[in-house]
Amino acid sequence: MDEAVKPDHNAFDNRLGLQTPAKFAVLVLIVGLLVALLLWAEHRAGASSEVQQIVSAEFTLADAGGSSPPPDTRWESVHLPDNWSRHRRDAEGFGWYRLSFRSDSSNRHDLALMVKRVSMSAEFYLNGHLLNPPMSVGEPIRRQWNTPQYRALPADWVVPGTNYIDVRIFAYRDYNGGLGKVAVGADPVIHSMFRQAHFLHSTISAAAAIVLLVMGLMAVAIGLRLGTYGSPLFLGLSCLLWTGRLLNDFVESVPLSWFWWGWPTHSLGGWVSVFMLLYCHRYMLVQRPRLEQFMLAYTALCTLLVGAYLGNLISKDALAVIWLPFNIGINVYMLLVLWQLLRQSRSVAPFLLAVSLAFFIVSDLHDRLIVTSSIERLVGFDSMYWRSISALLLSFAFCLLVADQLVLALQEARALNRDLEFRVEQKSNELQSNFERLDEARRRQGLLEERNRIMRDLHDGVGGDLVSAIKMLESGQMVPAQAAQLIAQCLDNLRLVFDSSGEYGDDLVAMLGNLRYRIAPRLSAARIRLQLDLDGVTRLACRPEVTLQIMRIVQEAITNALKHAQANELRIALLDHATKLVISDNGHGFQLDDIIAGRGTQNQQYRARSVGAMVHIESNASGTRVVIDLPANMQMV
Amino acid sequence: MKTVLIVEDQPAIRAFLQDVALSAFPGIGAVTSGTLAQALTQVDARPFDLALIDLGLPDGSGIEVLGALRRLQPHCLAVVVTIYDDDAHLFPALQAGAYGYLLKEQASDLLVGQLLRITEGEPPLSPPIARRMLSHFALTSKLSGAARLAPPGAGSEEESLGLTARETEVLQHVATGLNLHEIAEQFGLSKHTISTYVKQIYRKLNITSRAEATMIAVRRGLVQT
Repeated sequence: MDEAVKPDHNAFDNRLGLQTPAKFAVLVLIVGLLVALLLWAEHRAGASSEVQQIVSAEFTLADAGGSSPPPDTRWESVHLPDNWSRHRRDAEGFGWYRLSFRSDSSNRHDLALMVKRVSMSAEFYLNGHLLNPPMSVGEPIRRQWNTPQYRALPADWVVPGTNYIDVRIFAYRDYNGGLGKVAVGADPVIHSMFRQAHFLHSTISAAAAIVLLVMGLMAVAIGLRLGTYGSPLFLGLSCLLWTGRLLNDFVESVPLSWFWWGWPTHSLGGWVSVFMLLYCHRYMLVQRPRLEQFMLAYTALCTLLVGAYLGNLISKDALAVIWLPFNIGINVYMLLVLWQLLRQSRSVAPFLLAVSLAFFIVSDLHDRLIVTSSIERLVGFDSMYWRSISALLLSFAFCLLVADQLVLALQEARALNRDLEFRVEQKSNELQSNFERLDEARRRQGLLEERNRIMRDLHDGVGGDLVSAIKMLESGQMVPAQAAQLIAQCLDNLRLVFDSSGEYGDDLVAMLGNLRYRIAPRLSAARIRLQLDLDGVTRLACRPEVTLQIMRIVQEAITNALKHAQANELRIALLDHATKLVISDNGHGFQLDDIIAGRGTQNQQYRARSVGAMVHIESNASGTRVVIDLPANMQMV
Repeated sequence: MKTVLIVEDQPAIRAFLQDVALSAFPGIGAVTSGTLAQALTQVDARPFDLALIDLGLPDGSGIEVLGALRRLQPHCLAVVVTIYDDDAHLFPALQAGAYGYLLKEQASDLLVGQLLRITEGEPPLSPPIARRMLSHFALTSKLSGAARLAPPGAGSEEESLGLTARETEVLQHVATGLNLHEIAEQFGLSKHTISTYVKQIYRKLNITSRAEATMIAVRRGLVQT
């Protein structure tokens, strides 16, 4: 047995904590009990001390129209049940049975007769009177081969002493014709026996057929959607074919010819077994494609041969020689599969599948014994067929299997969901903490950068001015007014640094507003009129270090104008769509090569370049104009 | 103007401020203190007409002196004296009830002029403060509407808690660095009218600030609703 893949689709692990031999023993016990129960039920249905069981009769194989066998016929003594397949294999056509029973004059009950099987069809006569209904022979098919028969015996026709019952039957060759034991007795008792027998032979078959049909349709529907894993497709096909086979056990009228009804009916059994094995393969995840192909091909061949046999092209013996070994092989292989199934079954459902498989084999054997009457004392010709019971058992097993797989799928889905939820939560936690770390790092980095920038700005602007103030004071070059001016300049610088670090430090327009407001008192003290022309721009955004450098240039230009220009008008204007900032005065200008002015200019050029701006200074007798070409990346609002 | 309280920790500037106060109001009596604790004791001890308060004190913030004055002496004119005119320093002081502010480094004659204008009722307003006001009112009007911010009993004042178009315009002009005089010229109005607008803005700021403080207190569970 190749076990490429171990199946693990048992939903209830180790609920059957048994070794395989122990499981087999339990299986044998269950099947044994089932067999015993069925045999007992069969026996009970046919036994009553209040009735006469007629087990001996006379038989003649001859047709005679009318209500009685030909008078000059040669009778042969037979024992009931009488099975034609066993006692007269080649016989076909009509036959007469003559049975007798005694009626006491004291008998006050109405009488009746009952027979569990009379095949294929029959009519009954009491002392020459036909007990309706008459039989029908020919096509379309109408026969009662598996249906127990009941006839009331009218009191008028019953005579005191010996009474004769003639049974006229019609049988095909090889079609399992014959007559079962006939029970005669009080009508209520006989009728009750008949009802029990009818239930076992016919009603169970009909019920099983319906169950199998539903089960089969469901299994096929599931199988077509589910794909290969544990696919119940083949089980479904097996069930549907089995349904077809069971129809023959209880349907009495068939609108078909003998050939077209017989061919499928007699072929289906083989397909049922093969499809059941294919299902077991799928369920156990066993891969034997060659074997499966062989089984399917051989069964197809047998199907053709059945057709040939029914068309009288080959003999029954030829069919048996070809089919029987295969059938035995299939059954043996089914036993192997069953063992395998037992080894793998850790839950009730596959175990029950194994049980139903075992019972399938047993019932197949049992039903064969009915046909052959090999062990007549145990399995008589008029016993019930067990294939319907087997079908019900398989349906039950299948229900449990589907339930198992459903529960397993649900559990797996839940476990998957839990796992997924857990992983998502884990990931989102990781993400959150990463994000927080990153945020913290970014915040620290931002703070560090901002602090560095402020330190650098303070050092560049305020620090330089303070150092030069100290040096000049130390060397006595500076008068207090100059010192105060220099220190005031430091304070202005400090304010610019402050502004650029504040909420509006990234807005050049806001910074210009602050500066204008701040210098307004000084300008008015110097009688200089300041005009700020923003050209409608309300916000001009850029990085704080850029605004700071530009504001320093502006502040220096204003300081220079205050100090040197002797102007009375100062104008700060945004021009050309806020690409230029111009600071102009109407003073007397200065020489650009003046040493101090030159150094200031160089300083302004340097600051401008460091932030991607350009400074351009024009000075003549009518005033000075400082033009700043603003960096390209400013955003105007 | 009879008495002035000067709260300043640096002796030189304390003396300088005393000179400024005397120049503005000859004969005024000056009481000085170098720490917050001392200042609070003095606010408790006697009435003042004017107070010049530095914000950075060695044992706390001048804001607390402003708070004590508003509580105990609402008629005293409290003026903040600082070296910074940015909104982060000044806005809390204005919210705490400062009538104006002076920048320490300015020449004494300029300071005297400014102090006189403050006492005459010209409200203090710089571009950073104006910007801060604009964003403050934009925010409070968003905060579920001005009506809900109104203190109990505000009644018909409710709808006037947001800024009017004219008030917003004044603040926008201040933000570009114009002083009230220049704005008055631009609007063709008197400087007094512009001052009234600004005072109205301050009144609203005080109300909304108190409402804001109440809301914060409610949120923190300090006040039962």
